[in-house]
Amino acid sequence: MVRYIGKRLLWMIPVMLGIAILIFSIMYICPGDPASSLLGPSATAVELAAKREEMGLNDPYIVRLGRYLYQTFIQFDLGTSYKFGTPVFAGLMERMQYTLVIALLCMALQVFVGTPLGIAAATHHNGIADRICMFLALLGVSIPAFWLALMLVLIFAVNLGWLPTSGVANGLASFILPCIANSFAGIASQARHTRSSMLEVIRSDYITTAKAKGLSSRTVLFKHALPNALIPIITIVGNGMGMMLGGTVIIENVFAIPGVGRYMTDAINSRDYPVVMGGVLILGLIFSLIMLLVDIVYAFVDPRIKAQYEGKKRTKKGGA
Amino acid sequence: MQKTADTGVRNRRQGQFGQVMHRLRKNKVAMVGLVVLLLLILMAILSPWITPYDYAKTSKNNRYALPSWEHPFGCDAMGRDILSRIMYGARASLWLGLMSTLVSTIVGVLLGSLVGYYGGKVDNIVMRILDIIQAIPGMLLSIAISAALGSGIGNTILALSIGGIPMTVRLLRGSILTVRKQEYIEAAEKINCSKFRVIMSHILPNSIAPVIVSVTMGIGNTILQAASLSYIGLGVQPPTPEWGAMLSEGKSMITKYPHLCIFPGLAIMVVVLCLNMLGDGLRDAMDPKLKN
Amino acid sequence: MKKFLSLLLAAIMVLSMASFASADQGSAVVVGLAGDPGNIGPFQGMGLGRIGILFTTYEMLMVKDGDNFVGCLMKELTPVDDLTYDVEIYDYIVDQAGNSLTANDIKFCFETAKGTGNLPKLSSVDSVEVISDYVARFHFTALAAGDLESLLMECPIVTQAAYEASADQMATDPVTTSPYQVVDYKTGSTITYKRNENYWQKDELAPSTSKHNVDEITFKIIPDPVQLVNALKTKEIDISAAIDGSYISDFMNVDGFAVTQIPDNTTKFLVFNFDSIPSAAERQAIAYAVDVEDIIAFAFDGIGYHAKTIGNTKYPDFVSAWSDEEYYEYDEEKAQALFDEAGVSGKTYRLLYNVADDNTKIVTTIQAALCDFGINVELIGYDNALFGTYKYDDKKSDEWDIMLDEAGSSNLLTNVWKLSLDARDQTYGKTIGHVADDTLQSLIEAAINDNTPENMDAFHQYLKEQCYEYGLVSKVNNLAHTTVVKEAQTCFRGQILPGACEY
Repeated sequence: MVRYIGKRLLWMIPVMLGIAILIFSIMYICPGDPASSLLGPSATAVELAAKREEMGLNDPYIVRLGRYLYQTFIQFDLGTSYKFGTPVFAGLMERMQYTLVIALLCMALQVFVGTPLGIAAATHHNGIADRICMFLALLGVSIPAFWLALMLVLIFAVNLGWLPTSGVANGLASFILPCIANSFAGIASQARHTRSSMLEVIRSDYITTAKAKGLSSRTVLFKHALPNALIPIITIVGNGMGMMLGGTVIIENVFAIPGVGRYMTDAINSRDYPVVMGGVLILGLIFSLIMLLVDIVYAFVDPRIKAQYEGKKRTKKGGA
Repeated sequence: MQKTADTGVRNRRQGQFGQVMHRLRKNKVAMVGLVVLLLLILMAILSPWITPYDYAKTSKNNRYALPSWEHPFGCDAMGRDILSRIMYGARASLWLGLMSTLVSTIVGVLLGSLVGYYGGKVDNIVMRILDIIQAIPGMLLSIAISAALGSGIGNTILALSIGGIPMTVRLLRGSILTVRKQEYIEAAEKINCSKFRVIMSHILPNSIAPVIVSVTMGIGNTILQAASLSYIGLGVQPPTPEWGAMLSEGKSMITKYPHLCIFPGLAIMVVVLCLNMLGDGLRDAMDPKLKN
Repeated sequence: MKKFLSLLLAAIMVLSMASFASADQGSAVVVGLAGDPGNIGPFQGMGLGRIGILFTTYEMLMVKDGDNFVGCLMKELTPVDDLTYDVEIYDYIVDQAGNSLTANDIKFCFETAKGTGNLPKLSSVDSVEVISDYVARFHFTALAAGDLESLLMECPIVTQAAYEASADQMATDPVTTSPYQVVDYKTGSTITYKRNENYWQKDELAPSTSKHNVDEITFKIIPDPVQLVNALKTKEIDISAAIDGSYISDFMNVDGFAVTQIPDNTTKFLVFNFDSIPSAAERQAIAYAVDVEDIIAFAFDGIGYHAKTIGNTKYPDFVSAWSDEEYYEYDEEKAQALFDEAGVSGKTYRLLYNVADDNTKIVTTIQAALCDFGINVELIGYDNALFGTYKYDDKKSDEWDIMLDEAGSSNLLTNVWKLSLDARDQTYGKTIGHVADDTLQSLIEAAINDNTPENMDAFHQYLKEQCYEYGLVSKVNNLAHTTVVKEAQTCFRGQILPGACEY
């Protein structure tokens, strides 16, 4: 297992290099001009062209790519944002504090509300609890996040005046509405997936066997069924966590939260190259680490998977 | 030799397919989903002839008109009939939503079963490539596609479907990992089943459930996403209606004139609902454990 | 229409008269901003979010107070010759860190700003020479009408000592000569200012941009338009200039709120691509076919007015006679006759536009209008960054026939015109609409060099007749505020000057 993890960590080097080259090339072919958002609408075409030249945007592809890779991987410098004038890494980390709070809270809601809902639905398959859960879940995935967010604001902030409409100035209170609005879809999809994989497992032979042995249904559920139903749930949680750390643009926009999502989207829209390239690299690294974590958790949950990770090694030894 | 083996597989598959369809037909909920979905598709196809008003006809007097007998869903900011726009908008929204979901599912399932079945080097390389692709923000990928390949419906579907592939692959890979070493798979391999057959008739039916759930739930998001693509040279341009764009147009008026958002939102919801009902039924029908 | 214009004028007059008395309470105001200022350092380009905080953060040599340019840091302006001016600054200016401001700092700021390339207008400042402690001599390479004032207003001034003491070129914590000092900047969220008790200027000499009627100012960045409205409703913010027109009625004649409408300095206009629409009759036909009153109704909820040229009536070099002239007012018969004359029927135009704010509604209205003449309009909407590429790139010019554009300037109408109509300002030697017309070029050069009413009129009439571009709508900013703010005050760009508002 340690060897497997070590190998995966080593693999991150080519992955990071791949991300860097890919994002650089994409930014290179993407039309759109960083100079125009820097100089504003009153700059003329000639002035814009001069600024582009000065920013080195007219140099050939290979020169710029070389310069970028050297700066990133040799000097470990992600550059400075065109728009904010501050180093990309510092800017990203400043935004990350808000995004992290939202991501963790939402994930907690998703796991601790969604999973029980799903289990309840599965154990009462086709019963009334199942129907209600699934209706809520469908509502959750089909209500657009901005709609839910604005409705929540209208009720709890504008009409009742309990919570602030937007911003991050009021501590935890500022995060209540964003987290509810943001996690609704997550809870729904978590419940759906849990239900589906629980149903799958409950129908398996070994559960029937366990039941036949006369084990209590509670024991069967939590000792035998749940662990085996966890794989898709882990995938969803891992993927969701990785995505959420990349920021949730819609929620951040609606609630005026200066998170990673807005930072990156603004950067994409204004072609703030250092922020886009640096941000993608850092977020890619975080995402890869989470995916590695997911694979490790797989192995802990299901010993058969662990055997597969280590299986290759053994056959090689046997062959030699 | 090769030929007979092939036909053998195909016959078996058709047999299996027939069984699945038979079981699906017996599932009332799934059938309701399918029928409503088909009706929506029919409405989309016929919409140029059956909409009550011209979807592009603006009217100063009907701006933000509330639902009434004349305009059951009301009118939007330009005084256009929302019902007509939803009916016509089904063309773009359903086409883009269903097609891109289909494309991303097919590619995702192919890659996922490859990766899950072979594991090892194949797994490592494909998954690392996915790590790289997933790191790139979807918007940028779409802009790049638009810049490199140009506009057009095919490229829009490409842009919309790329985002869904990694999740499908990861889900399928995860569940294949759990069934991969189970006895019946090893048994099938021992009796010299072709790899294709092992994957198609033994591994996939036992591991596809999470993919079906995720795909049927993802379609609403795909329809919403299509709206943002019209700004970068992909997607549909106004005045051609499209549900996602109708929602985002109505967004700034949501507290004042909620009907601008509610009806396109409901339309998306109905599609998601139907697909989920159908998906559930399909999953049950494909589940070999439920074979009667 | 006229009634509306006169009401607007009255509003402007009232606004410029107001705000002389300075109240002094332990007060605070929260201003809602839709755009993110990003880097608030002195030598940044004039991005859209930045104009909201510019005058609260910085002082310049000159500023625009109401409709006039006045000295701010500058006490006296003395011409030496046509291209050389002596600028004398007050001799008692100190910044928030206590550094005295001298002519050396002026030289430093202009040279640094020019070096960054972020303020391209400064390229016509050849050099700044220090004559004495408080006199700097400016050498210009060229000066068109109105350039002098706008150049002296272009560059924010800080002391060299303070600038060099900052770790990030003042990107987050500028130390300036302004009456307000940044005490907290949460990027992307809020900027908080506290009044500088040791502000250098005497109250009676301070221009409106340097007034300080409130103790604490907070700018809150709220990108979502509905949430901006909600924040004002719950009084989390006191004032905003970015309230969506359709929500204005929620604050008009409502207890605890007030609304002020102020003309924006930008104008929306159509640019015709000469390569694909070379016929003047065809361009005129389109102008007649578009009903601007419809656009105002659909896109601006009836708040706005039909432009009379490429630019609005607020500019000092706007010739007042144009207001009463006929300017392609909607006329179905004329439009049809001109389409017939040009032999246009069943044609399809590609209309390029920036999807930002109200533009989608404008182009949809135009599309519907031309549809009545059997003409199709294919809409090509792009986000801001892509629109810029299509607008300026010569190679992309065959991808559009008509473009919806927007422009404004800080001082003169000629500066609005030159952005799209002066071939010298384009990289390919034609106007943005690909017109290479020597008459047009000589007329605009004459107007830019000397903006007499005759020169202005000559260009305007020629442009109108050729209809290379067609002015649509001059926007109006809706300024809504709680009654905490008694009298709102804005800069010439329609942005709020929180220090100058009355409380």
